[in-house]
Amino acid sequence: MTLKIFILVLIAEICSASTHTFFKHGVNDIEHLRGFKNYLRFLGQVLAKPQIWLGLVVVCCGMAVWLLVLAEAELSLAFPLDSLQYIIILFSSYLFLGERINRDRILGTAFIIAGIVFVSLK
Amino acid sequence: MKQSKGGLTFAVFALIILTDVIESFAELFWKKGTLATGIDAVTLNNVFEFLGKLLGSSGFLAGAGLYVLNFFLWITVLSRVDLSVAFPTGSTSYVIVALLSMFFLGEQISPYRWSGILLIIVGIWFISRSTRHEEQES
Repeated sequence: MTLKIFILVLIAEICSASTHTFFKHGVNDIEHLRGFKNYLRFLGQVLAKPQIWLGLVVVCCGMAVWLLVLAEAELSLAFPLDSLQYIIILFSSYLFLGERINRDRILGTAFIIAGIVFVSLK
Repeated sequence: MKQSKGGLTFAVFALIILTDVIESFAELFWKKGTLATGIDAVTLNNVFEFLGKLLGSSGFLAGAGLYVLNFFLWITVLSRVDLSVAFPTGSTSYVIVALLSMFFLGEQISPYRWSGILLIIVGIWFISRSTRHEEQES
């Protein structure tokens, strides 16, 4: 793994984490009631949110970067770096979405990251 | 603003797993698309040739369709649970891929992988428990 690939993957991970944060921010103040009609109304409100479109622009940038990575690196090398995202998302959920991060959530995320590292060791 | 403080129900859990399965297929299609361009390394000189060939490939289009589908599913998940719950729960896909490749492809799972699978399951149990705490407090 060269430095260039590492930096590209890092940029792609940050783009992806930002998108998830934008999406969640956009969805947060929409009421989602049960039932099919309510679901369609929910989707309509989602598509009217600027945060959603901002997220879509960012995810397209991220995917363009990701394609450059895939063209050079083996998938098996690129996947373990995915675990970076779990840390970025934990921080952005706390900082930008005001989610309450308790001890169980931090422990759970840590176990999952360790698990992904072990799974990719083969 | 914070109305989606729901717990990790089975329906939400199943939806999260579905989005991960679809994403894996989308990534495979896109990998096929990059291979179809016949370009091994992208440089400043051939980046536009690469993108042109890629955007016209069937692998890219199939992957893009799956990503659009996934967008709607994921938004639905986010309307039900915290992002710090939904995202880590997606790591279940690592467990599913390992188990599927054991049952259907007859692949051996090394002790490393088994420990990884166990760690991920414990992690998701903790994540799920973290939402129960929130429900009790509020």
